[in-house]
Amino acid sequence: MSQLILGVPSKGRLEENASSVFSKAGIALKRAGARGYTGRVLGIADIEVQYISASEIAARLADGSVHFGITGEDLLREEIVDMDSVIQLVLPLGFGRADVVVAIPEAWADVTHMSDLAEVAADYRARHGKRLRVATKYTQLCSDFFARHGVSDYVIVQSFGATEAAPNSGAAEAIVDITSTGATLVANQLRVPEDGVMLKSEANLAASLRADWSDTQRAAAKQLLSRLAAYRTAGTTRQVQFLADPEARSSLTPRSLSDYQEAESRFGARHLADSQHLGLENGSERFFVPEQNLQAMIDLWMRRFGFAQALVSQPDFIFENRNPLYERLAGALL
Amino acid sequence: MKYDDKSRAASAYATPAGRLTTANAVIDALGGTKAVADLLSVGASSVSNYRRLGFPARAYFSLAKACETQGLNVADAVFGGVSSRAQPTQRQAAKSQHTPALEMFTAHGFTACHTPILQPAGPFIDRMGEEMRRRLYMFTDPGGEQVCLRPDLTIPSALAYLADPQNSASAASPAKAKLAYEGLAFRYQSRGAGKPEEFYQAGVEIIGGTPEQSLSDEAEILRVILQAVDAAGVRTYEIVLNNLGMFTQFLTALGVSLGTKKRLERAYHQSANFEAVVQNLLTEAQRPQPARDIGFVTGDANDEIAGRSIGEINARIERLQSEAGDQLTQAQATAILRFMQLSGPAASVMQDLQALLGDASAMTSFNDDWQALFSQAGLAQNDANKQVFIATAQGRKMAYYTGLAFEVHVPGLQAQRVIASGGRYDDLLQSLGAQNPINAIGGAIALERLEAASQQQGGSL
Repeated sequence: MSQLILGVPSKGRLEENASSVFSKAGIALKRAGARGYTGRVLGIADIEVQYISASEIAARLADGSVHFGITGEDLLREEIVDMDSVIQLVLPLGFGRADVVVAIPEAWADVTHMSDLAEVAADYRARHGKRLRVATKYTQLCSDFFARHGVSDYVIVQSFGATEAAPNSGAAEAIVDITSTGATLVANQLRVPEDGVMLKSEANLAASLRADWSDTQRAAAKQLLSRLAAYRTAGTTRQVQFLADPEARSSLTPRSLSDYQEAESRFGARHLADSQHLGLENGSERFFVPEQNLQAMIDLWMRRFGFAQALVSQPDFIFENRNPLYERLAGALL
Repeated sequence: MKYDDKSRAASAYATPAGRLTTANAVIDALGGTKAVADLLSVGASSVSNYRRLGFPARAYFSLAKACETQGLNVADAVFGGVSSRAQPTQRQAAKSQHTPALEMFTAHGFTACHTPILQPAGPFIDRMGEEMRRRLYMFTDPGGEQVCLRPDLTIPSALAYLADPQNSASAASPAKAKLAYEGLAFRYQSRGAGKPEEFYQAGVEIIGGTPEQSLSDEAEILRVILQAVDAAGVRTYEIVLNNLGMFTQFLTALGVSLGTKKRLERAYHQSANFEAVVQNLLTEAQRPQPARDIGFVTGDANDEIAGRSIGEINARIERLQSEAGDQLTQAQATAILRFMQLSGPAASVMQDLQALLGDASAMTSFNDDWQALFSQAGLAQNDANKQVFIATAQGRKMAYYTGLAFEVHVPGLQAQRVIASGGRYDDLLQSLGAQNPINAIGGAIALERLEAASQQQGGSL
């Protein structure tokens, strides 16, 4: 019976971050020896981890020889023709964030937008009789993006490293490259046009729609996604418990059904099932609230109902009966 | 020349029995609207729309797999060429063509011209436009030269013309040449498009005509191409014409500012995404002006930054400032997008232009040219089997066309309906190395398609 294969970057920061996410999700990756190229996922049988060079994971997903792979969206979109029909981006993992951008010399003050670059490239060709050179390793992303913005008079110069140095060294006039802080671009007197961000990329757990998916492999995928989803949901969710002053319980404003409904529609807050009962007993209420709405909900509820305290904690995992990540994958696989 | 065409989403056509060629048929075969809705986790109303409009790309893969599981035979095009597993590309040898076309051309005074299949890639990359460029078979030969398989025979013929010493760059007055050819050309097709990647073309080019001969040269090319089509027994076809100069003239008549006009013209010739460019222009017009309030770059005007001098950058800033407030208006954008859709008999296109511009007097010279061309090329305006249309977006993606562009359509061939095409390319030769502009016009027939049209219409080659 063949196992589900998960491709993980074999070294470097991507590997460390991937290990860290899986550890925190309670399904640590266990490598067979420090330099081994296989491993397993603690707690889930039927998954074989393969440690693969980061640059090859996209190709392995494309040919279906791994079921899941961890790699940047930039590499997936660059290397796989018509990616969306071959790959499903299952879950962004929150690391390896970087933008793929167009960058031009800072001193080209007249180029504020891609449309300027289109015109300047045409002028450049008319003036010099040759095309503006764009250094990049993202040839596919670059030509798609330039075509969308009507930039046609350019030629791509393949670059496999230190791309940001190309304009200063005279190897190219502009570049398309990845940047996380922009500091490297600034240090090389380069600037991104206002609409020059091509892709906001991060590391993703991606699934190959071309792999064979047996029942065993699907079951393993379901477990894996359930654990990751439980961890991810917990990571962005806070549990808040509203407490009344013991002396003043009777002065709390009673909550009605519409208050709970409002909390859900306005803050995405889920009233915890047992607490309605508890609330009647001792004047306490518990909710799961998305992190970003926490403060607003606390402010409103303390003011409106007269609670004395709000205790906030973070759950480690929230397992759900439904498994939307798996359902979406299964929908694409059939 | 260009054999690029739009496949029609939901049209059924003759295929082997049991083969499903439409979204409608696939939905029925999979058990109906409800079953497909469940399969895709979408509402029944979405699936009803798919019946009319075809499937969305995100559904291709799931459906292809479901059809495979159920053993259904589905035309690739229904799923946009997507199939459930990676397929080896199936290539077929182009059938060796021996048609009377070349003999017919030489009998009309054209000289047979043989050009290499292997061509230098540079001129094609430079001149064919984005869309054709992506379909070029290009590689580096062992000696390090970038070469390509010729995607058509026009640029090779132009290079052959220039290689002739009497027409070379140094020649004072290049001679007029009438060239004819027949041979293989190669273009990448997306997987499952169902179009051959190698095919035969036969065509003619007139290079070096004087401006006074423009009209008669154009008429001659059209006449010989149509004669070859007729001789193959194809009796019913449409002749679709455009003059790429009409777009420029239309923009001028609309009062579009110079910078905007340049961008629209580039998009017209180059961009697969013309509408997006128009949309960008509108977005820019709404941008707050300070975005354009750029300070001049200080320094020696002759100093260069990545190939552009400070003088050049500042001159452009000055121009942008002087054009501020001259942006594209919504009304102009709407008119331009409508212009791109115009298609019909010359008289009705002129009426549409009148409606778009209010006053079409700026365009009447084109109408005069059309009437002159119709009469010289012998195109009847009332022959139901050979209808003549003007289509204002036709031929625009062939980046080297400068004036007349034409196509011959046989609608019964669906996706392969364009059996011949051609156009005027007055600036190509200079960009290939000629000292001065040399007028040129040509046209070519796709021989496999001609044969298919001939068989469909009961003719014989």
